[in-house]
Amino acid sequence: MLDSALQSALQEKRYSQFVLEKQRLGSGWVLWVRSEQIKEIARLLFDDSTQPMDALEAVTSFEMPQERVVVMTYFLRSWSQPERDLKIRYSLPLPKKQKGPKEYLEIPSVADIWKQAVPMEKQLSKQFQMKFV
Amino acid sequence: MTFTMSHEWEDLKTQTTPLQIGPFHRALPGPFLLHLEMDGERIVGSKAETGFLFRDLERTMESKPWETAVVFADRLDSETSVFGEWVYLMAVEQLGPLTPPLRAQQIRVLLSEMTRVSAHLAFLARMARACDFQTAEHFLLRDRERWLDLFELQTGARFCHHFFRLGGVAHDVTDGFVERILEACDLMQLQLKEIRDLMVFHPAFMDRVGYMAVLPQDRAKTLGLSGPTVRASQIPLDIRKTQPYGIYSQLNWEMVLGSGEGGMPGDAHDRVWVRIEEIGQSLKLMRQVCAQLEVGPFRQAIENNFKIPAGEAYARIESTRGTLTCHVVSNGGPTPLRVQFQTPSTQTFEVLPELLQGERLEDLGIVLASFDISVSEADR
Repeated sequence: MLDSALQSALQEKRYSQFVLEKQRLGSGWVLWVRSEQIKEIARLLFDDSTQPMDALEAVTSFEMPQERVVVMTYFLRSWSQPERDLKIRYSLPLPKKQKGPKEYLEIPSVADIWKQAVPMEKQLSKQFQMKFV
Repeated sequence: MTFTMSHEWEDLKTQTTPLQIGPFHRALPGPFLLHLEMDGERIVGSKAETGFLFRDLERTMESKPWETAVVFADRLDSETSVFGEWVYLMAVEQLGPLTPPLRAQQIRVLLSEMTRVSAHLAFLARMARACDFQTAEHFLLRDRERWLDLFELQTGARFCHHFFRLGGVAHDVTDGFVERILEACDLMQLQLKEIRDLMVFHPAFMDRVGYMAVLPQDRAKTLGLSGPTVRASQIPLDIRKTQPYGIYSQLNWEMVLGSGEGGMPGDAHDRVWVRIEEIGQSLKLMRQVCAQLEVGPFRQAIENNFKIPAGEAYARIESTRGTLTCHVVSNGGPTPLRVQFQTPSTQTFEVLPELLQGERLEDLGIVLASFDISVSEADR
């Protein structure tokens, strides 16, 4: 059974164009989006006049070594309806191993949309070779 | 050179003075360095430098077996260790999947609420110390000792209990524990009145902290804070109510919101008031759990060769300082692939310069104490 937030997000045409697929995450669901569209969908969700996802609860990241990708997940919540939550994610290919200076993975920053993202992005950039731009 | 009185005086600026406090200082809630830019007595700029308590807990957990990693979740914040344990185990149990028996869930709620009372009393003692209310500080620390004794009776440790286990808790309640909790609740109820008289409704205390470091509702939302700090700003956000976990949905209690009684909503006085009232709600919860304590197993039986399957889980709980979350990823191996916490104090640290802006140096200790920052969980 889909949670109500996901259901409404899927039903609305303006969000469905971003969704690639849905996947189970624990007791809920997570929506896969294109990495280059993350800022666009983030802005839409933040500014949604009826049910804004205006709080960012967490940003997490993990590497999948076999697939050679890094998966970014954003856990969103609404201030007006705290019981509503939404998880969106995308994957990016890891930089190829090479000699010389280390290559940083460039990740689109959402700090200008959710101020809460600043310490989370800082922490991730320390743990992984990431640069939030 | 002579000066004439004219409107040009208004354009003259005083040079600001840099001031460095820490990493160890009485006004600070823990080891961190605070760089201040002072205009006379007023703070016009600040920067918090953290990392003095960095232990790389998450990476360490990723190198330990699933059950051993709980010890490190415990060290997230030694004062409120059960919350770190619970949020990590909640995520792992989702992955399992494991369902702790009812008695185990009741014991978990009992210990969490005891921790909430103990941590709120410690917060109040820090506030009393910052305001030089020594009598109140001593009374509060005395009251807190009683709760720490109860922890020792049940878990064998006053801090860093390491009591929660996969699928339940380490052992059943000890003889006389429930009776002593009820006794402590009755006594605490009486002492709450004393604390209100000594602090919340004391005219000198109200004068000192009323209207101080006001955090309006909109600003609290923009800054992304959580816990009693935002509830003092009248934002109804408490994970125990909004997304109940454990057995909280079966219990009867109320969310406490700021009232602006000692000044205006969202000020330092409200942050104290909310915590005092939350202690009362925690006592209510503990009495209910003690009355309903189920007879039965305290831990789900787990086979020796039990493995956590590949997958991921996300859990969130309401710790004493706000929303604590944990994202766990498994590849089916003996250790977690990824463990990542998001703690409320990390966010408070990030927005500290905005919270301190315009405050007076003499109030620094009170302002910092009123936001209840744990350096341990921010650095981790």
